[in-house]
Amino acid sequence: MAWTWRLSQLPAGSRAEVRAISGHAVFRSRMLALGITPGSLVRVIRQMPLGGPLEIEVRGTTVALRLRDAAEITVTLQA
Amino acid sequence: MRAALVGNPNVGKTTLFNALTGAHQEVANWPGTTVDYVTGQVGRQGAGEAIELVDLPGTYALKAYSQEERITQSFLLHEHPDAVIVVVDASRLERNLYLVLDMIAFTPRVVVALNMMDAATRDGLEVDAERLSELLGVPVVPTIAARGAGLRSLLTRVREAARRSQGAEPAIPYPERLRRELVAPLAARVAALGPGVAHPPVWVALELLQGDDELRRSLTALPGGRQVVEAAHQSAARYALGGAQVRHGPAGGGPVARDAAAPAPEEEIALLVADSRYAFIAQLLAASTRRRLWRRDGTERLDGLLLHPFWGYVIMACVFSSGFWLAFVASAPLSLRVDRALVALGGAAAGQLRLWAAPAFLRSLVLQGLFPGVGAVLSFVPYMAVFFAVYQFLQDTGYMARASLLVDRFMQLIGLHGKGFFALVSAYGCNVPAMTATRVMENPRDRLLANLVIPFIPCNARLGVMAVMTAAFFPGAQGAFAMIGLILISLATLVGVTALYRRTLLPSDPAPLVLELPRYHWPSSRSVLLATWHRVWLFLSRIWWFLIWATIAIWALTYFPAGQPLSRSWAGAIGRVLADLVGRHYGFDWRLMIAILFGFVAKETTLSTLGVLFGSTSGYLSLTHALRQAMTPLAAFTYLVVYMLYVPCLSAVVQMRRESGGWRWAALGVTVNVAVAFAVGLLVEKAGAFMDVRL
Repeated sequence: MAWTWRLSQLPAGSRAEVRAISGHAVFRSRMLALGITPGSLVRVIRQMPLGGPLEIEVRGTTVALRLRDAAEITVTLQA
Repeated sequence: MRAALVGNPNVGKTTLFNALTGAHQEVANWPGTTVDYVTGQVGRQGAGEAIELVDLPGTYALKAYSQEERITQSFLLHEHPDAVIVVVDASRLERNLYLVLDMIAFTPRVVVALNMMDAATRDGLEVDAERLSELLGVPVVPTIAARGAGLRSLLTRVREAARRSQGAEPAIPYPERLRRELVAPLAARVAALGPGVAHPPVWVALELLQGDDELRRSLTALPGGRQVVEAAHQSAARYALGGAQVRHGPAGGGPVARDAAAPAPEEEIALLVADSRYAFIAQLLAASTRRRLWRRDGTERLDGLLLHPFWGYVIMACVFSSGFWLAFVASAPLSLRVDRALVALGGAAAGQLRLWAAPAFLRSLVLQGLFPGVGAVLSFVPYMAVFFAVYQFLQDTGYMARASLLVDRFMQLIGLHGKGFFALVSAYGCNVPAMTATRVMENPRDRLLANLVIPFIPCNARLGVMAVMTAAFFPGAQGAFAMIGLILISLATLVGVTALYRRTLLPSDPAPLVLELPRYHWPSSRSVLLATWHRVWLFLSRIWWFLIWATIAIWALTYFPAGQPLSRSWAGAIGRVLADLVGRHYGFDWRLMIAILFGFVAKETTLSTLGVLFGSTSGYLSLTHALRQAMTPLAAFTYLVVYMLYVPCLSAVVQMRRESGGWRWAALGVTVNVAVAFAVGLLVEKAGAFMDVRL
């Protein structure tokens, strides 16, 4: 079984597959609408300084999330 | 016929709307909201029935999370447009198609505008619109809205679509069990509810199973509707419990235990639906698109610079200061012209009044009341307009999203939302467009908080008065320190008041920042200008009523009782009462209290009001001399602190009312403003006296 990580833990350049999304129901639905669903592939582009938001690419679009919210997304790393 | 324009944010929907309707547009407001919408008539492009277009706010799916998305959902559900045009960004198809599938399930009368084809080609992406159209079952028209390409065929298809009653269903691979056991029987029950349900039963069933509150509400209103809603919930629960669905838990492996923290069954189904749709989208893309060459995204490269941990901030400071500078420089000649026109108009009016032998009070009312008061506001409209334009431009390029990202961490520390940053910064120019700019924030509480604290940021007009008075009392370098001191005080107050509001009335944490970073693109000047025009027009049409009455009121206070000098007018009496009650503690005499009171209408008039009150109508020099006679430097500094913070101008208060949705919040905001301003002023006064400041 692959190691799972929180999205907020990944460094820039990582590619990962989403496994599960926890957190508030509104947040989860928002993620769904944006295409961040279990099984989707994400790429971490950068993290803003001093604990700022995380910029990721998913399904061809670029989205930014606060670290606290990105921590609710569980992923497995791709090679 | 009426057609609605929908699409994800940043796909060029409004550009397309503007291209189709040109100048034939009208802005209106969704009742009970701060969202404006635009409708327009399509110009004579291709013969055929006239089309009324409605530009709806951007949305990611029919299910709504922000006030704007709720409006789109509400419009589509209740207004029954004859056709729906879904605008998609050809270079961002994977996510955009999700909304398309949502819309196709909802109504057969859909036309897809495959926009930004030029960007797609530039990125090396080839899209076969015909094939896509075949697989989706609806027409797909390639367009380049910014250049006006493809519009004619789009309109033809739209007219055809309005006549379509049955749509081809795209072959979305929903799980068979879901279809057979849940959707089909539920759809039958929905259909049985009769013609009260204005939407395809299959769509209604699917939405109920995913837990759509808006839909539940409207169905419950129908006879027999409540049972159907109940039945939907029961089937969903049974299906989810039936547990053929195994999801990986966060700890890495194994099915998730059914505990209290598990998501509602409707959410499981929503996930299933989303999965099926995205699977279908992958098939669509494989069949109809092809990447000719691999080019690294220009946007991503630019972001490397604009979001750089150091340069990003430097560039942002430059961009915003240029914006301010531009607003100032570009609006100055226009402002001058407005002023001159008003003077000329005033002269003509004076002549006319003399001709008619108008009574003295009428002459005074018009020439000393209406003209200065209304004129003061009109002459800052050019500044405001340029500001709106700069804001719109930055927003349309996609830069504002990056700026929000750069400052989010710091804004969070204060208790504000990153998206509100530009609103706060632009408040230094003028509070009114700043309050409009708060609309980018989705959470109404964040918006409200921002609107309530924006008045603590001194706008250009206030800064001007501050600069003059500072120069009068603190010559040279001392003046610079005084100004900096004032600004720091305003920032500290801002942070303090935000914390106060957060701890008492608006405690919710800032909403999750989920920000889409759109591709950079150069906006069309037409879009920017049209949007600016709409905003300015809306502002003026709302303010003129209040402005005229407030101006007349102020004039009346200074004029009556007739024939008396200023100090014995009603205004004088009020000023003396205020000075006795309040001003005494600060060193403000009745004239200063009146200036504070009148400054409520428009800050720009403060200096001339002071001039009149101190009997010095021959310019700033005599005013500064008169002021220095009337108060100590400490009192002047204290006065400026109070003046800087106490209340924004009437226009801003009216705007605040609009943004907060009612007078209650605006009244609270103003009360807090006044209270805090005088409290801070008192602090400054006492501190200054205590330290025995000798200036």
